Amino acid sequence: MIDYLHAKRGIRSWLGTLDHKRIALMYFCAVTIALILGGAFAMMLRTKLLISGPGIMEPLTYNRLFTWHGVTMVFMFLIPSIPAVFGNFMLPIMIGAKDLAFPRLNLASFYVYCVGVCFTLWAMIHGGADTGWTFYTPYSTTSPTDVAPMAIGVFILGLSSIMTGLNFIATTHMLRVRGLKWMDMPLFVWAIYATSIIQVIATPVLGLSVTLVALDHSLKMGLFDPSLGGDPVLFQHLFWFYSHPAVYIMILPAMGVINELVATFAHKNLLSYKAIAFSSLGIAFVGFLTWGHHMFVAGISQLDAAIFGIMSMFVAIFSAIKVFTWVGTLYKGSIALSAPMLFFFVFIYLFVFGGMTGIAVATTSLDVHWHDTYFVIAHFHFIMVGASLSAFLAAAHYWFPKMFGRMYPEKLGVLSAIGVFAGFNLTFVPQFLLGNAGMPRRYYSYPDRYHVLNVCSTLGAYLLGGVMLFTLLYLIISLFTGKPAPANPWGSRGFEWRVPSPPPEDNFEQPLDVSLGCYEYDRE
Amino acid sequence: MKRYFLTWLALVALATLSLFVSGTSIALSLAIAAIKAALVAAFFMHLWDSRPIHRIAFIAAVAFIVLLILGVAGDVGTRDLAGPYVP
Amino acid sequence: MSHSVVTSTTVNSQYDSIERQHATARVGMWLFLSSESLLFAGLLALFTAYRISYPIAFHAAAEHANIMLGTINTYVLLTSSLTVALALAATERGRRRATVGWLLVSIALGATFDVLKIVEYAQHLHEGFAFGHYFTATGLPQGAVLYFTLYYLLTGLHALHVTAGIIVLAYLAVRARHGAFTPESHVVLECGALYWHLVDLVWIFLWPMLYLLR
Repeated sequence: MIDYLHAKRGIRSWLGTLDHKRIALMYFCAVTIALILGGAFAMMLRTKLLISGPGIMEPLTYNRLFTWHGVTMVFMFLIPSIPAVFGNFMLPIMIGAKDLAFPRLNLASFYVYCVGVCFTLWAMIHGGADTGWTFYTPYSTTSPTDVAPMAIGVFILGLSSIMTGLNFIATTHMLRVRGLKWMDMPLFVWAIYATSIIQVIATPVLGLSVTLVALDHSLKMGLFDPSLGGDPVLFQHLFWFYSHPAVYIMILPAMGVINELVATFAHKNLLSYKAIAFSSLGIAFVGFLTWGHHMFVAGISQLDAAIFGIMSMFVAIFSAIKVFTWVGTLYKGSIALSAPMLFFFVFIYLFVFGGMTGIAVATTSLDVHWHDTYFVIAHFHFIMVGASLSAFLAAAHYWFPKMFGRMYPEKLGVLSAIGVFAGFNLTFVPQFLLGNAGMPRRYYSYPDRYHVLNVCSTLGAYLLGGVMLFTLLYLIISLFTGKPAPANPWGSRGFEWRVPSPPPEDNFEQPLDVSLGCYEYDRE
Repeated sequence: MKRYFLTWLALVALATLSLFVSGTSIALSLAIAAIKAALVAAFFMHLWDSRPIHRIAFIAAVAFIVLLILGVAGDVGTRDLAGPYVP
Repeated sequence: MSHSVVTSTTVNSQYDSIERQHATARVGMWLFLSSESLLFAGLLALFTAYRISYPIAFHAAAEHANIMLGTINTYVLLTSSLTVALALAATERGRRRATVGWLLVSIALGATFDVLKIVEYAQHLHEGFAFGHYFTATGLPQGAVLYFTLYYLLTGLHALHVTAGIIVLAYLAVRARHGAFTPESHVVLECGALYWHLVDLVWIFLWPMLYLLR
């Protein structure tokens, strides 16, 4: 049977495709470009910070660059990365469906994403914003740069995210193959489902808050303007009502990938299916109750701060349940140390480190010291880059044979995992120390005593960037020269490994047989 | 058909009622609005006789709207608990 | 709205029956409505917060709301919800002309709402009750301008939805006229009707919040 890559030919068969697998690949290209772009911005920022005082760029350029870096990485790369690429590709296959519920909506979401990216890039070239990706008022409403177009670009990207999430929820509810119960679904599907709930519920509030900034900036709406009696803190409320759960849009799918990896490479049933499934929903829900912990020093009420602080601790409980379940699964497993598994170890180290420091900054009294310092930068990069990006790389390696029908070079994969780990730690551990020593985030210059740590961090960033390019390079080369992949190179029980690599256009030659569960390694 | 007309009659009656009580309290007006909204959702939008997933989607939306309002209003309403801020 | 909804007669390959496909379209529509309603949530939260901060100013500002036009619009929208529901009921009974008729009545009611809204806006702007820094009316306590800014944002966003709803209803009327909806298969009409009811639902809350706030 002819596979989906060769079923139709020509550029139009790609651009107009309704096949979720092809749309996933188009997303793969797009988010990779976004990642390169965001990474290039980061490199420029780190290069500037090699020396204190005036350097390779003007202060305003620096302010624009960190805004662009944030907007690109969050809205163009991290939010769509795992759901729109691997979710799109794997979710229908994992539940035995031939496609998503609304294929046209899926394609539309991709093009809306492209429009959003182009619009935001145009806004950047045209003058960009210098507000940081958080668009905090009142500065954002008075900034001389082009805040409004950037805000509209973010709005459009949000629209695409809603469309993807809606499609995934409807698909999971309505298109499961006969006999596949909720409690038999692969856990990646649970993770994507929980993510989609956040996307559908929270993203409109982001859309509204950036629209208000755009209106305020261009039409003098003055809704958050203190001179009219407005309260800038209310903007932060609306912004974080989305943007805190958005962190879980980034990390939940990453956890979903990890679930699949651990079971496959330990060749063992997960320690507890239910614990992982329900903790995903728990994180998605409790994630909505913690947004105020970004505002402890903004002047919110002590009572609100206390409640948000306490709720933040619950996220740690759910996350810990997952970590213990993964580690417990390894016990007495038959572990294969392939590249994806090494990325899992990178993930779990960085995630635990990032999570623990997250608890620290969600503590009201400690946050007063750390707020707006490099400590916070390091903390959330441990989660968003350390955990999410290494899960993205893990997924790219793990599912590479399935998506493209070729194997990647295993040794280079191992090298990449080690390089990412070294580069990442060299970049961000110094930033923890800098933050603890009091260096504020988003500053153009710094006192000389921070010099050594900043140089370490920049060298680490170069190493990380280099390893990323190296990874991209060998993955692209193995698209053409890799060994042909068998249907199930890892000896996995996962449903997606029961179809040919790459899958046929309709995913299945015969309906998916779910009588053998996707984690049942103890049964023949 | 008949159910639609009865719903509409109830809606109009409730709207008129809230006009009459409008001077007394905003809470009462909002309570009446909530009843009206429930009528529209249950009968015009057929939540009364449809799949549970529709109801879950609706209730989830309402719950998160309430959550957002409570979180924000809870902050603004309790900022002075420890006494007004004096720099 | 309807772009997520496939044509009502063909079964797409991922579905095992047309019923399943229609049920999925309904689920998709409900998810869309949930998402859509959260768009208003932020503004409702802002309104609540500012009302707590400036209770006296908000009362004083609400005195200037045109309760007459607001109330007429309430009855207009409630009735339009009925007529849309009747259009759906007519289709279920296979009465094509009645469907088109009720949809046209609904469009007329929606247009009435928009026209009255424009009259109201013009009147407010004439009296100087504009938004933000354009607010020129005097004699109101500090914070009153926030009431009007939020009034324009809330009703403006809602009026956008009414207008979008009118376009949807017009599309449905054309489709209905061409006989696209049968008693067994009319999921696009159902989804369009749901959208219109959401517009009604939002107004049900905006009316007491903005007009009856005394």
